[in-house]
Amino acid sequence: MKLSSSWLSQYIRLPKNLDPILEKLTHRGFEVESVQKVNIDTTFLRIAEIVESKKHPNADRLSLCRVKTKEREYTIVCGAKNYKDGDKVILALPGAKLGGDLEIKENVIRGERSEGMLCSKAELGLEEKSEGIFILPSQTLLTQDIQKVLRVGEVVFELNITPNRCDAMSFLGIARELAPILKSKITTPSVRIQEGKFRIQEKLKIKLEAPKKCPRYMARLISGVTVGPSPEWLKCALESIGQRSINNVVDVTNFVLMEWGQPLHAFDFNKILDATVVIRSAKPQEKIQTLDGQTHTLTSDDLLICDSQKPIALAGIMGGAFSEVSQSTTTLLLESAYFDPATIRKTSKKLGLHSEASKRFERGVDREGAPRALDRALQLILNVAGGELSKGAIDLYPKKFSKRTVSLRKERLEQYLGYGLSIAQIKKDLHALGFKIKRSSSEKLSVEVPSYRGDVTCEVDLIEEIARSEGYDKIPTLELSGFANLGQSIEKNISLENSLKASLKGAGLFEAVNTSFCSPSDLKKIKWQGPFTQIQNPLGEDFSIMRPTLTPSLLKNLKLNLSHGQSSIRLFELRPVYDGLGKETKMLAGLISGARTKSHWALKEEEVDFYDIKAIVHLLFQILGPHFMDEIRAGAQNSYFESNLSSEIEVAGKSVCRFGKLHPEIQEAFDLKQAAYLFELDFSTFESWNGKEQKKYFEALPKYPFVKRDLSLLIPLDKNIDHKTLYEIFYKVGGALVKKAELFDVYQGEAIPDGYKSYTYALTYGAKDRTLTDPEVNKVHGDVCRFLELEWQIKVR
Amino acid sequence: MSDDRPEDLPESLKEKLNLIEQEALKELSSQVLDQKNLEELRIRYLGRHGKLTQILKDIGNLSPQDRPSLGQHANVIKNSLAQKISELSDGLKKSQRENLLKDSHIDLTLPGRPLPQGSFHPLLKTMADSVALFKRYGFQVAQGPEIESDYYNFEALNIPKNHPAREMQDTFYISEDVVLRTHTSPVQIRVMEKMKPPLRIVVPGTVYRHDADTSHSPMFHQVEGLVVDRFISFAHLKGILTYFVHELFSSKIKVRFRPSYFPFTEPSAELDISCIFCLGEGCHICKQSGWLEVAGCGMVHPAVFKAVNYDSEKFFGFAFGMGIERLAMLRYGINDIRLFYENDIRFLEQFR
Repeated sequence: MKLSSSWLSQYIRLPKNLDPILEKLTHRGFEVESVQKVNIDTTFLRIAEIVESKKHPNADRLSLCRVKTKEREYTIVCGAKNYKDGDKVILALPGAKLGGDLEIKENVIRGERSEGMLCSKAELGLEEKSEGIFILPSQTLLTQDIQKVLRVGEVVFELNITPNRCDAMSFLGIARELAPILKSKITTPSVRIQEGKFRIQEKLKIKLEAPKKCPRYMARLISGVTVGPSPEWLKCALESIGQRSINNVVDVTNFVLMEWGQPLHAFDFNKILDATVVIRSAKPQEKIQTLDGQTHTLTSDDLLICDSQKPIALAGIMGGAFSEVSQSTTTLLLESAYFDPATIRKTSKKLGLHSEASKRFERGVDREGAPRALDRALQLILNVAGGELSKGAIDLYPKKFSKRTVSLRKERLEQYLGYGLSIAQIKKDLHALGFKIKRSSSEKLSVEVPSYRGDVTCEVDLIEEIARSEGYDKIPTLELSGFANLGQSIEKNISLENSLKASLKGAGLFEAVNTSFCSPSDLKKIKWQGPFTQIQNPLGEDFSIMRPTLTPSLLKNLKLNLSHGQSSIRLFELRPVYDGLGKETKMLAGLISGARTKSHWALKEEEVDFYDIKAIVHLLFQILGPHFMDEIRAGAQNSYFESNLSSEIEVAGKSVCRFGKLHPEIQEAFDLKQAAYLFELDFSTFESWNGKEQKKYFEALPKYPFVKRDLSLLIPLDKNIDHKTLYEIFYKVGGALVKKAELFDVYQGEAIPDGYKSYTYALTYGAKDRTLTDPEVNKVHGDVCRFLELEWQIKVR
Repeated sequence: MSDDRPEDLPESLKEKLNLIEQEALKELSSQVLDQKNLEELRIRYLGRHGKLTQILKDIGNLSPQDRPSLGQHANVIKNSLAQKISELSDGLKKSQRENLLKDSHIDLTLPGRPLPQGSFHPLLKTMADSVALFKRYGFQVAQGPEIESDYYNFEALNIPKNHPAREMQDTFYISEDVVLRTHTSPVQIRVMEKMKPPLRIVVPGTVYRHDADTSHSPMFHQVEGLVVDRFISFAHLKGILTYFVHELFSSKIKVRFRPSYFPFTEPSAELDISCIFCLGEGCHICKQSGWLEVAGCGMVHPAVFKAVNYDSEKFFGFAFGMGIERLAMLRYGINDIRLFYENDIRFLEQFR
């Protein structure tokens, strides 16, 4: 909420320097969001009137103005066009410094003498950017104090008012908060109104059909008003907080809204059919056009102010276009009401229609304050628009408000805040905030809450009131000691997560964080067939799905990095993915693309391939359990892998990891100019085992030496024999004596007969309990070779 | 063999010894030596069949009264020759090594062979570091779902439907009663439903708000804390958060607690820290105020305890929540929140 010091000072005496006060407001829970000070050196500034202006004889875009101040006349060359003869403006004379460094000098511009400059608001530092020069109100006198006219010294500040403090969304509300800070009292405007002769009951009927949604409704009539421009003081007040002046009647309702925090509404009474006002719930599909021109379709949750036939206002939010006060209005119906906060909030949120009124009603205004604000507005309208006030008011208030009493224990306050206060001090703090002490003992208080403090409902609320009165700085700072959580463990083991992440980092992958949203087109691009969860109110279609896989995000990351000219890209992400029922599981996914290493003088530059992504997966399964790698299957089922360049690992018949080359079609769909290799691991599956499966036991180091034998094989290509088959044969035939089988050469080509490939292994033999003898090793190695030759037609070289 | 030879006289043996020594010294000093002929010399004089070894054998045949003095003399000569040879050999090795090094010139400024090195994301690193700080005080890590029921996200936290405080947290809806959690606070409720007080938990997590501009992201991260105990006050809340700020940033950073409003805490506060860029002088980052808002906190509202059947007469609690993006931006001086989610390697590689 914006407040100006000039307006605020009508209710409480403010010191010259507001800074310490603003700081204290922040410390009391009203955060000062911005402060603007009108700070102009007026020594060389004058109020001037434009006597005559004509085109500059030598420049089309410039004018030559004759202006007069209270002292004399000046000739000024001016570039602006937004003025006419007789306008009052601000003239800067030679010597004036504007905006810090612009010093005004007497000048000759295109052959004409200019004795100063006519200023814009921006040049005076009153706004960021101006169109044209600053035109003062027409009734400004040349003899007036320029400091007052420019409001030098005015401070405009914006407070962040928390949603529980509707009472502070007004000048008087803030004045109430300032009173204890300034140790002074506030002055509320005195209201005396002269009632007219005509009785309101004879002119107007009001039916309150929805007392739950509208617990209080008050109205008065004024006849014979003249709607027109507002007087200067009213315009200035509203403008000082950045509000636009509309007409004298509407301005008064806005003024009182800002003053008391009570929204009011003025209707053109003659437009109200049958002089009847009905407060009722809307009928399903009922429509209203509000004064901003929009038409809204309503439901029975919404509350309407109607005449005998049709809606005339969307209660508490905005008036109807039809009943709006205009120049032709002569009789006013002025409404002051209390609407149910939840009703207003629901409607306002549903329609996306927010106003100064709805902001307050939905937070809960002071229902006891309705008559006071109404009277104040009537007084001001009578002053600025004339007319005759009805005799009496209509006040429909079926269920009277009773003030709440809350008790407060001294000991409790101490327990909450960590320090104690005397009962006398507690009373003093509460009293200064408008609370009444009903009963008190040395240990306990009974406190009556003022009607405007609907937010104070229980003991802790009072404790907070006292805490902020005393200042949070007064609360001591203590160290937490002792233990908690004893015997209750809820913590997930995150060491598995951390080890995997560390391994990937060590393998040169960068950890990515993407937002959880993806677009329907992303899923279409990867040909996603599975279920997914949609957001009802996304920020846009591109962010409308909770991603069921991490892959599209990583592909987009790849695209971005490629566009920056990166050639070697390695990324991983460990985040939740969401199924069709909104269930979350964690997925670990990674992507590599481009050069295997950064280009380097000692290394051959090579692109990553299938065996690079496989190595990364292997690395992960070193931690997750190397035996899972045995369950590897060629060809990942996912649509986004190239099927003969991908693999899948299954655990208990369920795919837990897929990796391989991105399908060229998907690569094209994501507009990627180079191949990418990916893996996806369903991390939650492993996480849920909670480390039990992964428990590693130490294996005793061998006591006896091992023997290594190389084995070079010529494998007929037509037999479809792969490494995995051979590997299994070694262990099957060699039995427990085979300790290791390392493939160290793969060759095909020259020196190898056509139709063959050559694999060379180093087989390690050994035994736990003895050193193997040569004949023993020869036998087992021979068995392996024979088996390969006889059963598989593999030649041992 | 020696038995066949006539017994040498001690005097002639001594003379022989001296002659051999002179001869050896002459050879060692006169020849241009390399490692190879030095070894030949050693063998010629000191080897198993060397001249000196031979004489030592002859000394063995002397009478017992002559043996000690001549033996001693011979050993002195042997040792000094051995030492001389080893010195010469060391010298040779050294100059050889020096020559070798002098010849082998490589460009020492060439870059070393690259080892792969990725990085952890600065956000998740900041989150993990924050959690670790609370674990020192015995906080257990708790987690909860991101797709959350309206009950846990709002109702149980004293934010009924149509409460104006819902405005503070613009919400993404999956269905009428299912939301993307707007804060990590629902985990408070989930944990209290399962655990008995006293408890201390810290909750890292991802949260969502329905707004996006240059300073907000619709998805961001929080770390939440909750302590429930018999004798816990706002003073302890100040203590733990002051410790946190001092550890994560620096003990020079000032903290300030000022009243605020959250429906699930009362009294509530915002934690401000003195601007780490201008040290409180006022700059564009702290909007000239000298302070930066980093956390919301307060004493657990009795209504929240009621929702989980805790006795609010017996137990007190405090809770706090902070935005990790904010902390990470301050920690690393990052000025644009969007950098966190672009995964530009030029950005990520700065956090290795």
